[in-house]
Amino acid sequence: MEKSTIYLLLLILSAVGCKSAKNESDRRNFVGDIIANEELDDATFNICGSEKEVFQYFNTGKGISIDREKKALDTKLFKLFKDNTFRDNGYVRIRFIVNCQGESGRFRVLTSDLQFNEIKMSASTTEPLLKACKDIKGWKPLIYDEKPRDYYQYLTFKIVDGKIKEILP
Amino acid sequence: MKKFCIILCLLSNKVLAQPNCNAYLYYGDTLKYKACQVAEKRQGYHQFSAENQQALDEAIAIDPTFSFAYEAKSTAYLKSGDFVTWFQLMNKAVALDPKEHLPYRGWCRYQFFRDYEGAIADIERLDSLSKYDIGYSVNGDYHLQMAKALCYKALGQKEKALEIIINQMNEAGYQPGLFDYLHLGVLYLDLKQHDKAIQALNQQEKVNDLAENRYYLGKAFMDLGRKDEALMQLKIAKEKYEKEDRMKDPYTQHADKIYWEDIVAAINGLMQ
Repeated sequence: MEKSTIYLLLLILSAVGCKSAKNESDRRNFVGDIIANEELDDATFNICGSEKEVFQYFNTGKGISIDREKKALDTKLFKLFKDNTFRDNGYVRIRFIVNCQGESGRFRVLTSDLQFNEIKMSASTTEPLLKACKDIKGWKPLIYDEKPRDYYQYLTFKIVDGKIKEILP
Repeated sequence: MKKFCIILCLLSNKVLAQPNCNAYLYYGDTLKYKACQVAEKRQGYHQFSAENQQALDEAIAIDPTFSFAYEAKSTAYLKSGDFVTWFQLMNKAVALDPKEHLPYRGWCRYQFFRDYEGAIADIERLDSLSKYDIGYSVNGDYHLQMAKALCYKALGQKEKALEIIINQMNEAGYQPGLFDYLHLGVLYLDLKQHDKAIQALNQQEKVNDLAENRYYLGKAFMDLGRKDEALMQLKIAKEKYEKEDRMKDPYTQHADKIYWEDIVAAINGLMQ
């Protein structure tokens, strides 16, 4: 059986019996949901749809959706930090929402060492990465059912010997 | 909300198979049987949902040694980029049943985090524990030996990567995966063994003809000064890319994946 056929079957099977959440008023209990926080977030950033209907970047199966593909994003970020030597080593994940107009907001940072133990990194490591993520232009809205949707996206920087080695996913 | 749940269920393309609870009963493990049955309550709920996570928490409360529940819980954290929680959950699963959970942890360390050393350690540990074939990545794209080879290549140990790939492809009964010959061809190309690279990339064309194998074939011909053949392959690569006959994954980027601007740059370089 071809991989595409298996994939389709899995999709159909996973849809069977899909129930609505018991407590429909609280989708914020989904893993990773980012709740708006006026102390942290840009007040001008708004999502287009309901708070309860923010997709994930992988939901349509097309991966990261940005102008000139991820390669151009990687090239730009590696160039930006080429001369930086960060004080910390490990993983820095910056997660955010891309709204239906391709604008980004509600950025949240998670940091760990290279063995995935949560650690606090210095602001001199996280702040430039956070600013770079906020400055990224060209995010494309995720299209589902011919409508642009809000979705969660993240970028993870792997820092080894003070240098960015990988930009994921 | 119900419609959104249906959409998410439809768009979740990884389904972690629920174990057969009756198997635990058969082996007399009634506690695990109860935990397994409780875990079944999550069926139909999106893996990010509170309902899904709560059902698994209940299962763990009944039997804290029910390793499946930890791995099942971990997936939502992995996909949301929360590597801290993901790794904590997977460590518990692996500690309880290494043979069952090392394949997933090892593969994900490579795919999602490019943790090459960690992935190699997990796959080699799995190999040491297994009497039989160690199996495939969770997405089915690679045999885990091929994944290990890609890790060694990324660490700069290309000869070792080549040796692992060749050994795996010579295993009796092994069916080459979707991208095996492509990676083999690119390795040969990196090692300046152009004839072997072309041979492998031609094999890839027969297994799974993609923009990538055409692109690297074009690069091999370019290195050999065979400009017309290179241009022909790069133009095919361009057509295939436009038709989306290329490496793609909903979550991450494949090793040796190419992009539109790679093809355009190579063609422009030839035309100058």
